[in-house]
Amino acid sequence: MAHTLLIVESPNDEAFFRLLIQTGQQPEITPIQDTEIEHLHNFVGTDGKEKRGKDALPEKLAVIKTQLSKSRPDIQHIAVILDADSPPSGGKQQSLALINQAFEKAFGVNTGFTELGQEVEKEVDLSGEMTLLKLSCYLTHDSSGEGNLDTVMKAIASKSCPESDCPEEMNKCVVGKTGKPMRDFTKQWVNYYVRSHASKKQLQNAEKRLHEVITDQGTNIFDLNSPLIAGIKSYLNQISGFPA
Amino acid sequence: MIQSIFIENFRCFHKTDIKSLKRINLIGGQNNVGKTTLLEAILLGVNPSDKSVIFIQQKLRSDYGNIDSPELTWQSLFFNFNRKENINIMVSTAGATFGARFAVKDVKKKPGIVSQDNLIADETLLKVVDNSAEDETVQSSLVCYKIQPESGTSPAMRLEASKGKLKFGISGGLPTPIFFVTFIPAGFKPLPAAMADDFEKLRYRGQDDVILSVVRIIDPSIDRVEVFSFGSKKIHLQRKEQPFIPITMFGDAINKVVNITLKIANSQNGILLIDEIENGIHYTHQHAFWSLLFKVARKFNVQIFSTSHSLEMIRAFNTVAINEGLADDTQYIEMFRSARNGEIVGNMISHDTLAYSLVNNQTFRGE
Repeated sequence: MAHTLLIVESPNDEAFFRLLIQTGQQPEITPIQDTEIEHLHNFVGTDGKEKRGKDALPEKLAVIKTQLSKSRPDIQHIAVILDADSPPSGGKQQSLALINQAFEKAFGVNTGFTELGQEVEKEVDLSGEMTLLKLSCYLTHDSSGEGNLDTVMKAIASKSCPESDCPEEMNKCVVGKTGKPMRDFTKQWVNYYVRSHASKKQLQNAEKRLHEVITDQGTNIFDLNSPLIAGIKSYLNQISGFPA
Repeated sequence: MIQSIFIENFRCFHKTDIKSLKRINLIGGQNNVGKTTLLEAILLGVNPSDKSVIFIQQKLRSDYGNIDSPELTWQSLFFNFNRKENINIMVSTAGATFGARFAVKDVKKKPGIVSQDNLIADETLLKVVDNSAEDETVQSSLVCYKIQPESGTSPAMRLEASKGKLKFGISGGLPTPIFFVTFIPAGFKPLPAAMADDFEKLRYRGQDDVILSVVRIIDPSIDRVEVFSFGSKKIHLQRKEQPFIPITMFGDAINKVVNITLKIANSQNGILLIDEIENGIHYTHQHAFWSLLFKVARKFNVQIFSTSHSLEMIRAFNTVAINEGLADDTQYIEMFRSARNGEIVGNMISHDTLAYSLVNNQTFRGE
């Protein structure tokens, strides 16, 4: 069966998108294609320092290219979902450019992505064998068109939660005194929110197991019908047969 | 310098095209995936001579033909032992494409008394057999055609296998080698006198300093390198204020690196093929060894193709290539059988990707 390989930024992203695919599945109606999801954490750069997220995409794609002939012959579509983030280092154009450059470096093809959800078919030289691959990408964003999966998850959180609501007050206090929000506040907010729904076992190694909470509790703690994630669901439908 | 090679119907290769070859090429991959066969194909592609065929069959593969059934003699050269499909090996350089085609022709003939043929490399075939009383037998010939796109295909030489013997019936003249090629097989122990001869050639040209440099990688205390011919001719090494010691008394590593360096230095403008380069060289010496190898190969304009199973050797190769800014001159090639179409492929892995794979425990040796 034809596979799609979906590359995302983090284990939490992987758990969330896997949740969206699974909850959207209606196998009796729509045949679901087999989609693999891999994240961009746990890599070490050649300088010995940890490399994760967007920074690790070019190397990840290069490694995948070598695997396509060797051990993953079923993969016919490589999809990438990154955070849109915000200018100057991020934003739609910057992030799409980063994805285009990573595909160019790894596969020697010009994907020319300018829009979210864009899909191209490219003939790729896999060690002398010309192979047609689908390549596509999407950027996770909030209503402003920027942001990341954390801002989206915060926006679609559906439960009242003192563990994250109280830090919200603290952030307001910090903003009032400094004019700027707490550093990584949204990430921390989501962290508290998800942790508050973790089981005792999951809390034992919470940093590494928060994604399990998203898998187990995601349908209860997030509004998966929110219009804010309609775009990402549509893209997942496009790459995996998930019904929109 | 060859830039690409196309191999068709040769041993384990059905159809394989390997491009973007560089000056120093290190080849990794699992067992039986065709690493040594790639070296053989390079040898036949650039120097399709009788000696090349006999070398790869007898010296490398211990395949001495079949004196009872000559028609079986050449089959191991062909993909799936299918002699009906010709072998094609095409090589490209910056300015030309050329190559060789090998085909088998069987002819029925009445046998006669077969005499010893001194050209044969192994005594197991040096038999004198009286077949004159037997029925008609098959004489099986391996015919080599020289391929040059501008001038077409022309028969160049023929190796005949008849009942009871293997002989060389060369017609049309041997093809002119495009490059001088030297092949160092895995586990090869060079003859001391031959190494001494190679060293003297270097000394004659005033280029023997390189041998002291390479010896010092393994043993920094060595101060002099000389050849002495009394008794038996050998290279001798001397530590400070110590007597000369024959090189054969040193370990495999010194003999190996000296032999490789001698072969490079005496193969100017040619090609050196090394099977399992890591044999005998301790990992702590491998960085310095590669560094010197890169310098010597550039100095003598020699292209190197080497195989290795060693993680340390591959890591050292990549580290030295990156640190010394030689990414454009060096290439790691991962060989494996494609899960998509079953063909053997040579996957060119960039230095960045290889470095990344090394530190992140990704696969890069055909796993």
